[in-house]
Amino acid sequence: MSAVLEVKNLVKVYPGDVKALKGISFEVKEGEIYGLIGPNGAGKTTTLRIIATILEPTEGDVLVDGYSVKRNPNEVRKRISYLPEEAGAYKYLTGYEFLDFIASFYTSNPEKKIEMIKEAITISGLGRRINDKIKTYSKGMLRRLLVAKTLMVKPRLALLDEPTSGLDVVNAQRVRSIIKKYAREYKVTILFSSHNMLEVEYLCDRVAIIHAGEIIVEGRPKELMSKYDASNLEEVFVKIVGEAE
Amino acid sequence: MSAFKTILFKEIKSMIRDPKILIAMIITPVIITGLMYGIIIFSTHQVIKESLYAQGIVAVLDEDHGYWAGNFTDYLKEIGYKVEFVESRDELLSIIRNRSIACGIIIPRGFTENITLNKSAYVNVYIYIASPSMTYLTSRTKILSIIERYSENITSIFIKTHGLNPEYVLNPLNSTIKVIIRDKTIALKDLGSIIGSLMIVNMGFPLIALILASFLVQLTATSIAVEKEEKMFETILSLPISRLSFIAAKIVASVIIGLLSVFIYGALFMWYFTSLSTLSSSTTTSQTTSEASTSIVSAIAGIYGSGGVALLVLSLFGLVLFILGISIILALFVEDVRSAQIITSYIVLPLVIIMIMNMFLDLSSFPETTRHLIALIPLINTCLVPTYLFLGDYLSVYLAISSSIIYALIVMYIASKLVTTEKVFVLKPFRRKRRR
Repeated sequence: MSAVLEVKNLVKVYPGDVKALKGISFEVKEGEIYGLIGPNGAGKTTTLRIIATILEPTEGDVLVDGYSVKRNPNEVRKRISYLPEEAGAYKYLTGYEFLDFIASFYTSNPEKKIEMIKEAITISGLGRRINDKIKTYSKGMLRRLLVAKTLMVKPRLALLDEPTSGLDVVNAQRVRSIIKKYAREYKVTILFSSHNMLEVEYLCDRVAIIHAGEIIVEGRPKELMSKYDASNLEEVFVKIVGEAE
Repeated sequence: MSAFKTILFKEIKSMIRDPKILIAMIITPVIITGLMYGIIIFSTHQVIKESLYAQGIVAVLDEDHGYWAGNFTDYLKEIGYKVEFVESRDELLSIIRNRSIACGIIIPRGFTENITLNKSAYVNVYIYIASPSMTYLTSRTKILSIIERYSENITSIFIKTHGLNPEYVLNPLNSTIKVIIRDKTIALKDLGSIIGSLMIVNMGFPLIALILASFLVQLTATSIAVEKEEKMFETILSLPISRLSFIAAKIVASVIIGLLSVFIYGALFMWYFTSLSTLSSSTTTSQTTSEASTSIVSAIAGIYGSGGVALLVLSLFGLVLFILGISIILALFVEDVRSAQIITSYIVLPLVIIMIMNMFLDLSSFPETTRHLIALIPLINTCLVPTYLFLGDYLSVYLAISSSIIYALIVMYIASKLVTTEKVFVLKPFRRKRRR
């Protein structure tokens, strides 16, 4: 399987000489779910923002389907769909209008657009509430709508920053199943960031533990658990991050 | 549908549905301004009506009981007052506290005798002021102008008895006014009409520019800040759309809504000025003839004409572009709508000062070079275009318009460079300090 995402020696220095990333590299293959885990301020969101073409790398490069975020950001944007951790939506639009707005940027074919929106309505599970204004939605409903808008376009690479944050157990489980389904059935490659180790263990084919802007360890969850003699990924994480600190 | 159209439709939809924008841009001007103008016009109408027609009761203490005292009270009745005679000064002072009594007049002993002997006569007028309102004060003080009119009548009678022409004796020297604007000479009875017309053009244009600029600044800055406040900015930056289309759609949506607001305000102003001019022309005695009115309109049309109007529109276009560029640059670096509104006040406030300054600036007294240099100062130059046109200083007009457009293009270029880089996301010079 070819790599949809290639992160090469990525360095990011913010104004004030704040080094957020210190040369990280990893690859994610087609249809793979890859988890980036790490404590707050480790560099997870910065990595996702660089891949989403919002931030520019100070050094190194990122290739999405072979297109560089530095040289071809527009081509990269056509192939990705990004769900930021603190995402919102236009509160004066209805859920349907919002999905229609997002879908319009990915297809000019009206039939395809309707298909995308139908799919998103199913993913979100909003039912008739899809025609209500977004300002009337609960936090959970909004998050489901945002996950739906990210996946409905079936991107080559979906970037999900804490996709289940703010969701209750049932809804979080539902979103996880949908993410898995998209990766398996539609070969959508997923780069995923989360604090929830159980979620990462359940969803990810491979994970990278990132700390202070560096990838400390990378591998399959089971391999890591075996390597660090831990019963779950949380224990692995605590052992590795504890050692690093 | 192109990305530009998609964003434009979304913007207009969001703005129309946003109650804050609806209240600020449409409901407030229509209700508050309309109501305010309505009250002003109504009260002006009332004041004019009150000053023309005598209404109410005048309490009179006649201590004279002579011919001219009777003649004076008959005159008061003739013009519409009801006269109520009282017996004492105390009664008069007590009765005038009643709201239905317009005033109290004491005609002292010797009133008739003085007039008959060609000596000045006096009446004592008592006015009780129970309210500070303009309508009330006008109704209470109009008795003084009525006494003045009565005095003029007596003068005319005396002049006639001496075989002279009262019109000549009272006004031995008169003037006819001819105003020359460019190559047109207009005969006028009073200067008010032409001054009013020129003021409307000279002040109205900067006022329109100010209103349009402040609306656009607020709308554009707010519409960009909304993306951040609603946490859509990251999502938008990662979508497969040109960031310039995104900004352009925001600008066009702001211009559409801004023009709509200006149209509403403009219609209200027109209604206000038209109502006031109709009122004054229907009530004032020194009316300008319809012929003179036509001459004024044609003279002003001659100054500004279709070419002048085109230049005014072009200068407004330059100003709008410049203001939009500045507001985009500022808005890109704010975090929320509140910060955006604070930032826009930095632009709107100087505009108000510039507008007021323009009203008092006599450009005709400045040397030509100074006028040309002033024409290069952004914002000020656009407000001065009507004056330059009036003076026939077309070089300054062209300098003002071209410099505005050049400044606008420079600012727009900087804005376009900023939106295509990560600076829009990373730089936060207007970050509000959070309380710990």
